[in-house]
Amino acid sequence: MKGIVFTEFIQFIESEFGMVIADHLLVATNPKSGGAYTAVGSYDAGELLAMVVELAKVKQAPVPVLVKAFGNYLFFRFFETHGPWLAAYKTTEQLLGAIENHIHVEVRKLYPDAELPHLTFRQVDTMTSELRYQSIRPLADLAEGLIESTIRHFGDPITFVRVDLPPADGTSACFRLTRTSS
Amino acid sequence: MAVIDELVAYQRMLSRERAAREVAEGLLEQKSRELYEVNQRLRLTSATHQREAYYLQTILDVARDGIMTLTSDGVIEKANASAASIFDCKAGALVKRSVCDLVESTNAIRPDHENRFFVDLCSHARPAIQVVGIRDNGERPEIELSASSGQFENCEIIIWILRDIDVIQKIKRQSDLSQRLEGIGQLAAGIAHEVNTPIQYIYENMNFFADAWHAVDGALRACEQHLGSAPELVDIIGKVCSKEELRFFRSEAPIAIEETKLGVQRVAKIVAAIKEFSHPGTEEKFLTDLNVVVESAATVTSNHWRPVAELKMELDPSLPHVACVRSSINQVLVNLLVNAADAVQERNQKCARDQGQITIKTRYDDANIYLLVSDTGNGINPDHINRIFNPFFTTKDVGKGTGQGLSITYDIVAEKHGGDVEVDSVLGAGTTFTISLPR
Ligand SMILES: Nc1ncnc2c1ncn2[C@@H]1O[C@H](COP(=O)(O)OP(=O)(O)OP(=O)(O)O)[C@@H](O)[C@H]1O
Ligand SMILES: [Mg+2]
Repeated sequence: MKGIVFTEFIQFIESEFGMVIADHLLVATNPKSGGAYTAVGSYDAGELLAMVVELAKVKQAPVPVLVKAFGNYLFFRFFETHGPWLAAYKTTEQLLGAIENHIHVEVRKLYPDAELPHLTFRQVDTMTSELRYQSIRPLADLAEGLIESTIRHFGDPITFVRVDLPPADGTSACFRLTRTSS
Repeated sequence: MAVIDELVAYQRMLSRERAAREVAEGLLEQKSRELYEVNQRLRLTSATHQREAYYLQTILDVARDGIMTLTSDGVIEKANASAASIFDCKAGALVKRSVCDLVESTNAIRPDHENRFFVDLCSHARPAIQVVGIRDNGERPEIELSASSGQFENCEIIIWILRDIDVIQKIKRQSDLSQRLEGIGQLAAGIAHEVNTPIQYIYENMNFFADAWHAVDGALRACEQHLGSAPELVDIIGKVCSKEELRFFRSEAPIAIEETKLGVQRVAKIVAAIKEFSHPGTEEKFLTDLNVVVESAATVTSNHWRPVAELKMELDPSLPHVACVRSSINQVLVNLLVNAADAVQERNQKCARDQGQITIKTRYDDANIYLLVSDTGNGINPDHINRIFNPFFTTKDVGKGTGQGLSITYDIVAEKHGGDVEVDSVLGAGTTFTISLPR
């Protein structure tokens, strides 16, 4: 997994739960890489999952809730760092529709070896659309957090439901978005 | 306690950050190196591609055949120099033109709105076809066309390969002629060798007979003078042959001997000509002023042309010297001048005029030096024009022409000098022979 997810995660922990917790997660999970993450490196995704599980234990909170919160944070960070670039998109649907063919293409220019999830967007009708998430990693919760923040960012009148697809382990899910007014 | 924990945590965080920075710097270096290597590879590939493109361009530039590519609706996209020269225009001037303006439409090439004809032309089964080209100056060259098609970046491209048939046929005619001459030359060399020896001794023997006859006749004359004083001899001679027969014999024999000698001389001349013809290339070439050669050939042949024609010379004083065998070129000019004089004489008789005209010109361009011999003679029958260079072809009376002149001329100009002989004749009006010699 790309290092940027790790560095963002550590920052997320530091800003939400403080330095000491961040340090604790690294010490407790004792990652093989040593925990000196850099955004341009690549690390075992298991190290991230182990830290999330440790965090759930320390904070007595369910893993999905924490991962979703990280998703919210990630969107906020993307916007902070790539704001002008994302300014081209004016609605949630536009942005979600552009991920696979535009945004991921840009990511691949920088990280040719990135293992990105498959995101298939479909506009069902003027009010409804659908985003399918499919990944080798069980991070549907992260996707959910990102979608949530996207809708909030654009201020779109959209509600969405998540349907987990088999094997129902967080690697495959479908998000149905419905506009409540046009 | 909490403060100490925090301090320890900070310290660890700091050392992690430092380690992370070092890793990041290492990665950056590695990326830089990769970038450099990719750049090098790219440079190499682009140089290879450039070389490849240049190589292909060179092939197109030097190809003798015209090569062009067309869009599927017949617009020329690329054309090489040979294609441009077939249509007699500047390289590059063909681009963007429609081939429909460059070839006459036929059954095979008739543009319909769907341009089906291109597809038909390009089918693999189709052999090359002949088409008539259209030059801007109105000329209509015959062109051999083979078409094919292919795909390039999802578009159909059509490739036309063109050959100027006039040029091909001219070269073929020349090589046919020189092959024929070579064959005849070998045959003739054999014959000449075989004929030469008997001719030599026939001639020698005829000389001997001429002398012998002289002696016999002298003896007979002496006998005649003393015949009256020995009447018995008259009877004896009368018995051997009648007086009349003897008189006839004595008056005809010298004429027969003289005629035979002349005949043998003519045969000897032919044999010598054949030998000359079949043993070429022994003489050396020197830089020569052809104007001087023209003057001397005119002088040598003056007894031929002076009685029948006025000779005009238009010699270019700036004519460059050319490497040639002077005696051979002299012979060429003599042959042409004698032929011209013969033709003019024939014409004079036919239309009852006193004098015709023979003109000799010298000229040059970047590639060649030209000698032109024109006459206002009888012209050449179009049925004969393809045969005049054959050895032994003559329309002249027996005894006057042997038919060697032009075949020797062709041999000297084309084989010995790599030049060309062209003839341009109008029956009843006159003839021009143009000799070109490469500079
Ligand atoms: N200037 C001319 N005008 C008309 N006919 C010509 C002319 N030159 C050549 N010919 C024709 O071409 C024939 C062949 O010419 P060529 O010089 O080879 O032989 P020739 O003149 O007949 O004999 P030779 O030159 O051996 O004495 C001639 O017999 C004549 O019919
Ligand atoms: Mg002659």
